[in-house]
Amino acid sequence: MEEDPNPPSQTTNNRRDKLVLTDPKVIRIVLHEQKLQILNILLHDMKNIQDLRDITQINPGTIKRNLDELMEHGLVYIAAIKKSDYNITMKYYRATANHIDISFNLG
Amino acid sequence: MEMNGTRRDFRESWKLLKSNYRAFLGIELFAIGAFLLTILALFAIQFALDPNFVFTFSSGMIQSMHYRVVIIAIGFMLLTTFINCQTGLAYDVMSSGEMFTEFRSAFSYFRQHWWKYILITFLMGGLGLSINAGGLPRQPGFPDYFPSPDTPLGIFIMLVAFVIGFLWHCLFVQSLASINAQGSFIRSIRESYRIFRANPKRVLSTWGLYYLIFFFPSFLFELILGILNPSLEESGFIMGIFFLIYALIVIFIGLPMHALLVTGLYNNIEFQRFPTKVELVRKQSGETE
Repeated sequence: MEEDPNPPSQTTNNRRDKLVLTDPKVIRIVLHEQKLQILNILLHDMKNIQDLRDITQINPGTIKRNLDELMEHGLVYIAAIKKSDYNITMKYYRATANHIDISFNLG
Repeated sequence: MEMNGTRRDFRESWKLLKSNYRAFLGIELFAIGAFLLTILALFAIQFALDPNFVFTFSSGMIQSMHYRVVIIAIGFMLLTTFINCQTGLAYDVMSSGEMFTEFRSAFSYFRQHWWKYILITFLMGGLGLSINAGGLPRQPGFPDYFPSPDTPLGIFIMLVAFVIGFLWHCLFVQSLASINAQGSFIRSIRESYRIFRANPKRVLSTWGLYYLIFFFPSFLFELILGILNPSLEESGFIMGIFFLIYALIVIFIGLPMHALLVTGLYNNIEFQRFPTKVELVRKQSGETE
């Protein structure tokens, strides 16, 4: 697990009020049970992986992989990089919108 | 004041070890497995090339001894390199931002830094550990290299050697964390020295406590055995049990704690740092944009 070499661009606040998902591929990702659970938490507040583990009881490695996939599709970003009082670096993740709607038309 | 820093180093490292124990345990078991398999494989090759190897042991004793030493040295290099990959796992936990690590992550550090880990192990532990272990001088073949610990002079020399080994370790050990952060071998040595110079009290108190817990009991036990010199019949069983329990504590708690402590010290002591790999990438990408 390498440290992300480009966090500044990802930490810029690109949060919007509403996001409408129309791409079936992205919708399928969002509807995955664990990703949906994580995304739901990150809609309300920024969290680090340890926080997410405490809330969801999902393995941190699995959370990380889910977050990577959500980030890849622009649903989540790194909202802040902080240091604890023992200088442990902590990345905080947040959903890119306050609300996410799914719009899918057949035919 | 420094004792507070040391207490904090241990408390935080222990907390992080507990929450990432599977990764650290995994790489240790893998390292031990790789060590044993390497030795078995090399002996198997030797046996395949010369099936009479075992039976001609007495006539070809010198060659056989050399071969064994080389095999065990290769095995140990592999073992210590994988053990040092634990500092990479500690870097993941403390510096990557994710605050956790996975077993497989160690292989990425092995690929990037294996030869640097070997060199640092030689530099840091080669002299120090052999002195601390105290075994080398009393091996058959090196009978009077150091005086025996059953004389006051012998005890004094062993203690002085122990202290030198400890200081040597303190001076270079931070290189392991530096390697993972900025990648260069020479710079890691310089950074380790800078850390020691910046806050020698913190470095000495943290590693002093570490030595006291994970090193000194073994040294003391050996010293007592040297002084009392009991017969093997009387002491063999107790020695076996002691070394087994103690070795398990050192391997499964002491070594991961070592990796976390070294990374914690590297992150928490203020000193003049070289740019990290991540900073260099950011700088380069900033220049090209």
